Amino acid sequence: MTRLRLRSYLSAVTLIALIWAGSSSADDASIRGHMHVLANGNADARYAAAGALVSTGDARLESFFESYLTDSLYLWNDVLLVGGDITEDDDLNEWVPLFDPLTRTPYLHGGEAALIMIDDLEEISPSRKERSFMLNSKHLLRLSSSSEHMRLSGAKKCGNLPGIPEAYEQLQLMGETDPVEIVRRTAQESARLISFQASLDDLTSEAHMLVVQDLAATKSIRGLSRIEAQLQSLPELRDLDVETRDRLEHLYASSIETIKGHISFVERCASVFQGLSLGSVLVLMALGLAITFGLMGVINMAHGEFMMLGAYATYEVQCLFNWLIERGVLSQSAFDWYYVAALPVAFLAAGMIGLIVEVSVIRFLYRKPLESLLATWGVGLVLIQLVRLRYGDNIGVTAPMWARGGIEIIQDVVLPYSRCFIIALCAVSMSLVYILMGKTRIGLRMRATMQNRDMAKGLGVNTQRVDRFTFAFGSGLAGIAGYAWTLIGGVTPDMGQKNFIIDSFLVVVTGGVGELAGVIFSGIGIGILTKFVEPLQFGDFTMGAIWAKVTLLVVIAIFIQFKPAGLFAPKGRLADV
Amino acid sequence: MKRILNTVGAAAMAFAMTTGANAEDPVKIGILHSLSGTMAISETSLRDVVLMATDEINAKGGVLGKQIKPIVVDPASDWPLFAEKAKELITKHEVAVTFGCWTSVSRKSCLPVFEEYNQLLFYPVQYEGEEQSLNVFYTGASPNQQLIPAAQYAMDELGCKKFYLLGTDYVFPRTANKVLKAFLLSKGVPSENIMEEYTPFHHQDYQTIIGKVKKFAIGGDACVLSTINGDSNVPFYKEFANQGLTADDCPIVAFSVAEDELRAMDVPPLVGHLAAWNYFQSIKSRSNKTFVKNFKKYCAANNLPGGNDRVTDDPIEAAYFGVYVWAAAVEKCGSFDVDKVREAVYGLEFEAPGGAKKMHESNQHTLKPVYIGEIKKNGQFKIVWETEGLVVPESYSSYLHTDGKFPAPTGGPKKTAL
Repeated sequence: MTRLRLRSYLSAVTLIALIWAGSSSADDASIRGHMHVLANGNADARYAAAGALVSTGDARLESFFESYLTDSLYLWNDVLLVGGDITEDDDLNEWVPLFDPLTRTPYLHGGEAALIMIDDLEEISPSRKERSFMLNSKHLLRLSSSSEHMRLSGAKKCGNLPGIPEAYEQLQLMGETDPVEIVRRTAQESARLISFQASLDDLTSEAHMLVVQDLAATKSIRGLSRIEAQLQSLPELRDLDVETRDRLEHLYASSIETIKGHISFVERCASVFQGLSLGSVLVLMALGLAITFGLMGVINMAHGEFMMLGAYATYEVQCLFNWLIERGVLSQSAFDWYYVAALPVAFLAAGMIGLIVEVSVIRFLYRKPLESLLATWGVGLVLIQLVRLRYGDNIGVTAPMWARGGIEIIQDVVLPYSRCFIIALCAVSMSLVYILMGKTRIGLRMRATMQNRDMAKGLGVNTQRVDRFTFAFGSGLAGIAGYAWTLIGGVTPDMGQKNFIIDSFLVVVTGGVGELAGVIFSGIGIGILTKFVEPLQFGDFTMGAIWAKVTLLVVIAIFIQFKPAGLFAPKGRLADV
Repeated sequence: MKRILNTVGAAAMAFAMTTGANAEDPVKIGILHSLSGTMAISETSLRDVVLMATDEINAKGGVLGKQIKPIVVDPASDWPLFAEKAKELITKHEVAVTFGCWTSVSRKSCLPVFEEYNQLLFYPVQYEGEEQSLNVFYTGASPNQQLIPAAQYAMDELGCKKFYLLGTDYVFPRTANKVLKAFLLSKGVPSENIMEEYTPFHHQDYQTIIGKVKKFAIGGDACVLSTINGDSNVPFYKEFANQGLTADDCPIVAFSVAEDELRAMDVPPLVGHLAAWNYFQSIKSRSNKTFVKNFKKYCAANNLPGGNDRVTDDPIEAAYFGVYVWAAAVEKCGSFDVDKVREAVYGLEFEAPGGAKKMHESNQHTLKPVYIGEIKKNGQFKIVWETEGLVVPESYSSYLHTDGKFPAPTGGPKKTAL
């Protein structure tokens, strides 16, 4: 039954591919003609029209099919058009701007770009039968797309089971000529997977042996399961002679070993990178706390809330940019700059609130750790509730385009841009803090005040002003951490209490209170340790996120037993302060 | 003199009480949803919509000629507090019925209270099943009204052969995955093609898991069946997209992500992923359109956060029609008495915003249609599949009780001692 279905499916694809392979580019008028049939014709005519469209091989049609699949095609006054982003007016009527389906330019009606109420439009959507057909043709059309992501996804899909064997030649060509390395490699791999599938009819052939070797040479992770399946089915094949069987077995086994070796290498690299990126998130989170708690000695339970404020400040800047764009002050392309503008805003907003909190609460509580713990906890609760009243519980921060996707550093190891950005941001803030503390006058005063407040005062340092500045600065750093967090996580009023406060204290305490270097080492260390423990497997049992956390806490608890003052304990006279 | 005054006072009070029982005094209903803490993100909307429903009913003259007076309490996402607040609603405020709870653990926490006092709770959220109390009406989906159709869809329509069951570590995902696993195995999916994994509440770092999913889905024939709950969804979907995975490579079918949750997400990378529910805001009917508009207007008029940008979703619809089901049952039996109302609810047919629905004849659940929706770039769902007609709910899954022996329902009227 399944085989039968697979056959008929393949033959449908073959049909498309055959027409497609022998095609030349058709003129726009005939394409528009076919499109119009899609909107008006009966089921059979629509099916034929879709086939005819695929056969043009026009890469512009890929996005047309996408719109067709996602229901953004409309018929208006008997003209087929693509809809843009839907907007709502005050009466909750939905309006949609219309575009030409081929050129994607705004459709003009009476000299103006058409913006039509959705109720006046007829929505054109594909039937179930057309849907799967469209999906397949989409992959073929993607091979000739101008966007590398599209070509990549098309190349991948053509090779995956059940595969589109007719794309073989095109894939091979792409494997040599495509300008982008990863597309070349994927196309080549897919071509090999297709010929591997084809060579299964004759296992003794030279072609089969060659393609298995090729797959191993490409380190094809996608090929692994297929070769493994071959190896398993080998004993069942009675008509093979012993010699061929041994040869095949050896070949399969060695190929599997090569690919598996690659996989474990990839996994180890991935663990290091993931640990580094988790670590840098932790360091960034703990940096502010290392100052307010580590240096100043305030058990600052509101630290998480300052991060939350930074995240909400980022959201506000995003809203401001959207507002400006709506009013035409900025162009749409300027939207991504909001994230750059939000960095200082997040720092200053969190810093300002930090300053207010210092002046109104903290300054009365220096040298009273317990009271400061409770007071800052209360401040945190107040901040959470204020934000909840203002924003509700659900808001979304849109990542800028440049932070979407990722870069492939080694074959099959992808590091997302957002995480690269956070690693860089962490390094930069860390160095700036170092320079500020170690090389500037204000840094010197800060350290003096924190080490011995009375002595510093006696030597003419305005300790009150220094305290204020230091606390605001630490809060501002927390704001930056919240700002960075919007790229990888969610934004809710109680994100500070739920996600950050425990981890931040863990990092600072493990690193050694009062030492910035400790924060780096313990943050990165905890990150990498977590990422190495998480994927561990013992037989059927996988550690996973839950046991990784448990293990980590146990390790830290034991560590603190032996080194109560953390990795970098203060030495000498400082230890007593 | 003092005695006379006392007598007069007592008489006046007695008079007030009798008239109160007869006519003008409003009937109280309880609303037991977290307005602070973890679950506030989801449950606040349910409070809003229940209040809206009572406003509507009151405007039309109330129930049995009485106005409804909602009593709102905040159990603050603290599970034991649900039991305390339920008790407070029943004993102190003497409510006729309670609408509330979201997480299964909160329902399990206050269930004994409702059973002890033989009171009614309307529970509006899809859940893991394996429960049937005569003191609860479940207006959300039972497993066979959400999980099973979605898995079937993934097999038939998406052509998936491998399934990654990923959830938050608590009772709903664990039981749901048990049901799903039993179903998949019964359909001939080999057990090595099923992965099961859990993360703690508020888990934020999905790098390792996405890495595993990527490896699992390399052949292009896998999907993720996600029961991740709450704020973990944001980092999960973000990491998924950032590592270069799309709905083409490995679709995610989610059971706890609806329109309301999508408001907090960066939607473009999610386009094409799926969710299974019994209602979507995008259902095209006049009654649904009116419901959506009214809800937005209600939120805007009452200055609730979000205002006009608010959306409706499955639990919101279920919470809303729950109030109407109760009101209709009260009208039908002409009494607020719990046992009479319970009997009246059985088999009740009604018009919900998403279309006609029906209460089950005996098992406390609701007959509902099932929809699979694909996320669109405007944060709404395009309905790509729906069942024909209503699906009959199963409180106990036939995939877990293969011998056909189902436990008896709990709670109900107190047996009078002989």
